[in-house]
Amino acid sequence: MRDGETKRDIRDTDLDRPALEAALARIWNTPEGLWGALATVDHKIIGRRYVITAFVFLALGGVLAMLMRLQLAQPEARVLGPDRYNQIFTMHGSNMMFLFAVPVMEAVGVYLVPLMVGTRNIAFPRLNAFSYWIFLAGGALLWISFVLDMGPDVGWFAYVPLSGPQYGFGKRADIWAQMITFTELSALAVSVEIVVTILKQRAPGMSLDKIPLFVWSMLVTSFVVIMAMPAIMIASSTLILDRLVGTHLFNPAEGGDVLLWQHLFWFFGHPEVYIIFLPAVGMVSTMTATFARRPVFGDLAMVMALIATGILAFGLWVHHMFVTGLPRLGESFFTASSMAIAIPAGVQIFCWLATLWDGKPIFKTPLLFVIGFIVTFVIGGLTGVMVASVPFDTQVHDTYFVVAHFHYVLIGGAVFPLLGAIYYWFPKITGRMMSESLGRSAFWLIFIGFNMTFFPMHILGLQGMPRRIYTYQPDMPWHDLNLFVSVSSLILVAGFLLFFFDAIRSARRGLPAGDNPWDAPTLEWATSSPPPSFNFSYIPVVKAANPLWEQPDVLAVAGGLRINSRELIISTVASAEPEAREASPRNSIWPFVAALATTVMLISSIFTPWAVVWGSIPIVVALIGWFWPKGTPEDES
Amino acid sequence: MSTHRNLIYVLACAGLVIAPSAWIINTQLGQTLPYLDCQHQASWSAVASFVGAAASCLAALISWRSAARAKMSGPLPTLAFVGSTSALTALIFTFALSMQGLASLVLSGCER
Repeated sequence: MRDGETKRDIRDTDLDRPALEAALARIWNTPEGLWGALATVDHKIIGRRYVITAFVFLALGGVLAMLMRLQLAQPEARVLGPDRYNQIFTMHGSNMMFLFAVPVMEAVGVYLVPLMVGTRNIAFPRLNAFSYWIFLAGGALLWISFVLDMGPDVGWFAYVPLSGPQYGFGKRADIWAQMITFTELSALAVSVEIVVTILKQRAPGMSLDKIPLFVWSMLVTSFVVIMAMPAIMIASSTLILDRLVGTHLFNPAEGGDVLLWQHLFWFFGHPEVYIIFLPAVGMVSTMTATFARRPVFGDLAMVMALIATGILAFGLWVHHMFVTGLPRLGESFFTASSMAIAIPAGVQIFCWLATLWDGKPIFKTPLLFVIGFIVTFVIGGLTGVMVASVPFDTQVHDTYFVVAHFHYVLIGGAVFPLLGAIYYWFPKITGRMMSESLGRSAFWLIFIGFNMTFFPMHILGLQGMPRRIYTYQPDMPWHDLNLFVSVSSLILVAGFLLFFFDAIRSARRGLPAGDNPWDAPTLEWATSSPPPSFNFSYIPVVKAANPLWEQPDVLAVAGGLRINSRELIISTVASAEPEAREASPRNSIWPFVAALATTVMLISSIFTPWAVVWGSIPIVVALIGWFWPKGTPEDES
Repeated sequence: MSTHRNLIYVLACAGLVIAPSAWIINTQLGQTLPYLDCQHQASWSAVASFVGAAASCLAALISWRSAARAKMSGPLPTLAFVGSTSALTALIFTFALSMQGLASLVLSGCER
């Protein structure tokens, strides 16, 4: 027996509250020190690590963006050479998509979903720990390679034949492909955890119609990840096979197919946009309801929109391939779907506007970011409808118009909500408030800086400026706008620096927040700020969609859980009726060891295929250690 | 009673299952049928799309009626929620399939 476990069966109904909390803390706490840090399976600690790591990658990606803007500010500038520029735009895209946008959204889910559904830990917590270490290793692989001048230079989509053995010399494309394996493995692991947590660990009474919208959004997102990510893992693995083993899957000269790469990549790549956007929908819905002081208007329509968007996301990928020579009629099917997806997006926008219209909005910093999101995302959505049209897309394909469009969608659709969400949930995570005045200043700098930076890119695109060029001649008509964009990006950077300063300062010296500083309705605010290791002293029983508004003083609780071992309630999928008590795994070093072994295997396999064979042995040993029966209650259920 | 309730749940989910399935199948057909359309000067793509749209619309109706029945027959808010969400989702796919059908009427399948 470890971690304070005793053989006697003690239930939470046997003790008064202080004694109960002390007992729960003994069982659920993460030990201090390096061992505890490496072995923890607490979803809050891991979620926090994920968020911080992802924001570090955001900052690094921002530095790369500024280097590109410095280079493009003047025609024929010599700040960066073409090779380094190729590496930088590849690193920027790969970093932002694979190391920031997807992981940070999943990280927020890792932290919040168990709290919002009223459970004590995420499902498969050791897999959760493993996923973080794998994500970190993938990020380190990419960035260390870049520092060593081995950074990938094939674009974030790594099209063949450019990335294939015929043209992609050295190990740069292999590093990109293996980074994909790391990050997608991590994302898949988190998605499985989130799906199981939401479907089977909801607090009693939280039936499907009472699930918070953020949790719905994470559920749909996780299914999209599970469906989409295998395509890119197959793509990256087969690319490595072409490059290392000598297969010819993408080599037309030997019967392979170049377009197969694009199909595989975009079958993942387009849903990726929604993997980033859908959690933002959940965040925006949550914040809008809280600050409008009323439930979201049309919550049923919102759920419909989330589900429809999640499915339709899989029928749009060919709109990235309109210039590849596919039959026009086939392409028109994807135009139809691309335009159809604007319907659920429009439903969401109108639901938020109706919520604000009918509520009594309090314009705190998170709501400012929500409004910034609505404005920016609508512009990005409209240009999205434009590029869904084949004739228009053919004209602006691979120009700065597309760069402007996807930054409006991704920064407007995901980063604005995310920054709002940080301001909103920061008090829950740290127990301290962020500064309202600094937050407002950061919002305006980011909002104005963003629009001044990216809106002119539409015009540059319409003037014919191609993407991914490292310089341009003075006689091209792009100089003035490029200089304007580069100067404007400084305003955007100032906003982000202010945000980072505020976050770091507030974590140490912010005003104490209290349990529910926003008077919000969802369950995460029913526990202390920051939450204890066991999340809730008693598992709440949910009787309404907005429990803290509709049952504030009489939040019913479920009793009967053991407190001398880690235990959770398992509930039914549709109506969340309690079904069973389930043991939750304790802290373990094995996920870290398994991640280390997997890292060695994956990186070595860039250099020799035999690494897959020999590298599997330590992984198997680590997994045996991970799953070895320990004779504890964990093994009994 | 339990079988009856399970049946209502299945019917409530009709829109969520049938409509996306019809759309997925039609999207795949949209990659192969244009070649046949061009070769035989036919409109198989349009026919497939409109059949899919009809199936999707029917599924929406089934889900909607199932939700309405759940609301009338007692306190089954979860079932009503599933049925309504399912019906609305199916309508989105009906729209997408109809758009695909209309596109098939405009193009012959021979355009490259």
